[in-house]
Amino acid sequence: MPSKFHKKAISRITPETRALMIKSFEILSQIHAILDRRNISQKQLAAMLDISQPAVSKMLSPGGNLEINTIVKLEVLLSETILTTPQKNTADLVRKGRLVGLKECRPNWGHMEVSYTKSEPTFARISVN
Amino acid sequence: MNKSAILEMFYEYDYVTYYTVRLLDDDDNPAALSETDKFYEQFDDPENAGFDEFDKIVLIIDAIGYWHEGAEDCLFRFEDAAHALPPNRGFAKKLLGIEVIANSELRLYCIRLTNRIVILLNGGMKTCDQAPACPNVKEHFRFAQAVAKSIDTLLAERSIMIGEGFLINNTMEDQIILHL
Repeated sequence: MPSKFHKKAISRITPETRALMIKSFEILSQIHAILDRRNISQKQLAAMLDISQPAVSKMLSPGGNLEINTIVKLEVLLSETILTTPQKNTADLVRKGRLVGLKECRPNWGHMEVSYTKSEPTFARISVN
Repeated sequence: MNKSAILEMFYEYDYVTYYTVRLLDDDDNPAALSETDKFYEQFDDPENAGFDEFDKIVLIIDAIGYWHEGAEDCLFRFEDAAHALPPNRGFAKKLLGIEVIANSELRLYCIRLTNRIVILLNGGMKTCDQAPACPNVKEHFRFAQAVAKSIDTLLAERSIMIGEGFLINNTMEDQIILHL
């Protein structure tokens, strides 16, 4: 049986706080993974972004005002993808021919309409309602 | 230590199952509260000095449970054979950005078995560098070591096995009993 004490404690966590924590956890983990893999320090990143090191430190913290334009700037500077979107992911997979046969596999996929172009049998146009 | 305890589910999340232990008395009657419930009962009180730190530990437990990577070991402190929350100062500041945690002395001892299975125990306010020397947490620290040793023994003799997000009870008992 789930702990009623834990239930009570987490009832104070608002959906927004939880979502922010998890989302920033995912984004920051992604950024730190890239920085670690590329061996880029926060000091070097500050120089690349032309901002102070404390500002980088603050930026790389949950709730640290990591805005969409900053994420995009980081993506361009690092030549890496930090944020992905499901629609683009699906379209990319289809374009690369990794989702061929989708129509046959999911003929009644209600929320997604799949059609194939005749000239390129491996290319599918997907529109999500 | 010569005590027995039941290993039981504490809370199940999408990506992590938290377990806890409940002590048995000499007649094998279970205690009214699990060890982790005792921790919550003590610190989940706005009048308690550790309330803010407690709240952040709960937020981390909750976020880990909903995070697809689950209980990554970098999210825990290493405490000999056991672990503790919150994560260390550097990580708390660097990745979690929680200042109150970065300066926290509150410890919740636990055992991170895998990214999907964590056993939460009890804890307290640590008042000196070495947990075994701290009057507030030394009992909890020793208890965590004893639980870790007991879990290791059960795993080694295959009385329990690690499933995908849960523990498999191979003992002849209805519940997993730890001999501490």
